[in-house]
This record gives sequence, structure tokens and C-alpha cells, in this order.
Amino acid sequence: MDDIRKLIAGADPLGQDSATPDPEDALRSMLSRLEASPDRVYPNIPTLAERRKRRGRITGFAAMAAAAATAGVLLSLNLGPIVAAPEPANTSAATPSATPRASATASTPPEPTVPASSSQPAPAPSTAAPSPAAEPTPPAAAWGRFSSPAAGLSFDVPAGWTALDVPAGAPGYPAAGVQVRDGTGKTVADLYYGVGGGRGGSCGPEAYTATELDSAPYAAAWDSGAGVRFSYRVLDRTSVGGGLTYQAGLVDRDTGRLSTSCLMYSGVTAAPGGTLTFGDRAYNTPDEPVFRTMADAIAYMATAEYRNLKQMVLSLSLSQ
Amino acid sequence: MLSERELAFIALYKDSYPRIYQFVLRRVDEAELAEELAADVFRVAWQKWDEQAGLEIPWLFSVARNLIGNAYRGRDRQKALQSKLMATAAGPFTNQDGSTPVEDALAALREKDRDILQLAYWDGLSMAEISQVLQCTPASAKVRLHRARAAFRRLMPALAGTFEQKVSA
Repeated sequence: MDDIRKLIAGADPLGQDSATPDPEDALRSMLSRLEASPDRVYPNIPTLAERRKRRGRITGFAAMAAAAATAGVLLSLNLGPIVAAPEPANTSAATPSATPRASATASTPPEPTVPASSSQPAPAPSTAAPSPAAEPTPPAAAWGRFSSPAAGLSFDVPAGWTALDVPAGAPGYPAAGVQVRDGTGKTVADLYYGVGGGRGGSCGPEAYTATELDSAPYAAAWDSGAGVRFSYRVLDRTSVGGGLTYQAGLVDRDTGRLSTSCLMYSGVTAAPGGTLTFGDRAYNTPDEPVFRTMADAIAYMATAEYRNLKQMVLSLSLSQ
Repeated sequence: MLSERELAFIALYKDSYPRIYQFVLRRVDEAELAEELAADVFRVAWQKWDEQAGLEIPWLFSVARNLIGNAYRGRDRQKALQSKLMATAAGPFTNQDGSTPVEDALAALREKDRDILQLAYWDGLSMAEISQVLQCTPASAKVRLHRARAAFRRLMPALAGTFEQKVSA
């Protein structure tokens, strides 16, 4: 045993002979009082599945950065440190001030398919291209306004979609997270706002062409020259049978730069409260949906889901 | 007849209760409160645990940390706890205020450094478990432990000097 371990272990307040209640007795006691103190159980502690997903995200960032160091193809955007701090008592969360309650549901969602495995490149989707026929947009009155005073943000939410606060950040890296789901429960957008949110990545030797199919200015007083905008971009991997991956969300001049690479990022590095990402996804993920052809990707813009997503993202308002 | 979920939960409880209880007790130093908080940890586990995700003891430690944080939210209460822990841990090589150089060094560390040292050397968590509790990669946890050890090492000589001065005075 090394000296430091020995010293610190020697300062263990329990010592060697601490008494521990019998687990069976403790279990009986706990079960007998299970209903007696529900207020002691904190509702915002993430489930194991949520926690695992979050850990996967962190690990993914770290793995990409590590790969970058060895491959020498660094596409780092250096948005801040990778979150690597103790999990806080995550028991406070903002409450939506308005949740859309209209019963209208979004029409046919995205046609991109989700690859069954994480292997690269993704298999070409076999589904037909999405219908380019324009879908009706729900009336504006059907939208609600999600507001998170704690996070200092709000945005419009279309009918049938719900937004909810989700845990984000860590001690030393305060952040807010919001997840938006459609009427089927599918996650259609994620928002991260706060300190941290490291981005890094490498890939190669393949290089794919990124194309911006849609862009809209995001008017915000806090945008002092960062060029924040909504952007819908696709990464064309059809040359290797991978279809076209896409991201639709807020970008700034750096993250929205079109390049020939194999990764895309969406986010704003210099929002008032730190890093801001709001869109269908902020970075490439193994399970991201893909379009079969460019025509499919273009046709997606005519869907209600896309229009709702764009309108929702552009309605984001930050109060701090 | 117990369900599969109940059986799995009971197994988890029996396996991990002592570690969770001791983890809590080390940080609250009050047996009754430790029993309550440990029970709360498993109440949360029962409510939040989904079978598909499997069982992870580090998750229980994380919940325990959250609950301890809630119990000792206030700075004054944390200071009081720290003082209490130091007082109860006083051994043969104690300073005049009852603390030991090791305790002083631990108290002087940044919270994140103290945290990882305690997880490793008090609670006996593996590097993989620590990384899960702290929500970071194992490599990152290893780096953090290395830094915490270095910080601890830097503090020890100074505190040892103080101790010697007090003894010789």
C-alpha cells in the first residue's frame, strides 16, 4: 500500500470495526416505511438509463478527442471542457410555464431511417423518399410557450409536442437541459445551455461534403457578431453507401462552417450563459437518422416536423 | 410470490447496503441519519431503477451523494460536519485542535480532490466505479486522482511542519 493511500485510509472515520445494520433488518424497515415518506424521494434524479445515455455522450466526446490526438485530424471546436466533475444533487429543475395541450399531432415525421448498428458507414436506407408534398402547418394559436425561469430561456412548442427539463451539467459546469418530444414520444430536439459541452472529434481518411440546405437568421440581442443562425445541413456519405446524415439547429459562424469532413457539429459557443445547442442533434451519433438521397433530404424540409422544428428553434429567447 | 424485479432488488440491497450505509456514515457521522439516508438511497433505487438498464452500484453511490448533499446543503452545516469528522477521527498524532495532519490536509484540499481521494481510499471504489460516480471517463478519473494525490502530497509536509512546531512549543 502506498503512503498516501495508507495515510488517507488511516483517517477513515469509520475505522476497521464499524458496525453496520443488518441489511435484512434495514430492508424490512425500509419497506415498512416505503409509503410513509415519499417526500424524501427526489423526483429529478435521473434513471439508470438516462444516466447511461449521458455517460455515453461524455465517453463519446472523450473517445473522439482521443482518436483525434492519434489520427492527427482534429476537428476540435473547443467549446469548453468536457464535463468531468462530480454529479451534483440535481434536485432542482425548471418547470414549464406552459405546456402545449392541443390534441393535434404532427403529421408524418421524418422519413430518414435509423441505422441498426453503430458501424460506419451507415447502411443505405431502404425506405422510399419522403413525400415532397407540403403538409399543413398548425395554426399559431395551437402552439404553447415553454419557459424555464431557472435556465433563463423560453421557446414556442408546437401542438402535440412536449418540452421537459432534463438533468444537465455538473458541479462547476452548471447547465440546463431541455428535451422536446413529439406526440409519439420520439425526441425531436435537445437543448443544452450552460458551461461545458466539449466538442472534439476525428475521422478519416474519408471526407464527405457538407451542404447547407436551409438557413435562417436568428435575431438575438446577445449575438455580438457570432453569426448565429438556424441551419439545416447534410453530410453526404452516399459515396460509401452511408446515405446523408443531417443536423437542423442553431449554429454560429464556426460550427456552421461548411467543410469537407466526416463530422458535423451544431451549436453556439458564445451564448451569454456559455454553450448553447438547440436542434435535432448537436453532433454525430451512431444512431442518427440518414436520408437515402439528397432528394429525400430536400423533401424533408416540406414536412411538418421540419417546419415545426425550425420555427421552435428560432423562437428561442434567452433572458440571461 | 415475489416478482423478478423484487428479487433482483432484494439481491441488490443485500449486496450493496453495507457499502452504501458506510459511505453515508463516513460523510454524516451520525448513525441514525446514515440509516435514514441509506434507506432513502434504496427508495430512490426502487422508484428509478429500470430493469433494462441493469444494476450499477456506482449509481447508488451517486444517489447517496445527492441525498447527502441535500442533507448538508448549507455551508455552515458542512463546516460543522467537517469539524465533527475531524474531531471524531482524532488519533495519537493530533494537533492542539484535535485534528491530525492528514485530516488537516484533507480539509485543506479542494472539494473535488478530497472527494476522489475519499472515494478511492475510504470507500474502496475501483477506478471504473469512481468514473461512474463522478460521471467522467475512467481515464479522466485516473488523471483526477493523480492530481488529487499530488495536491495532498504538497499539503502534507507543510502541515507536518506545523505539527512539529506545535509539539516542540
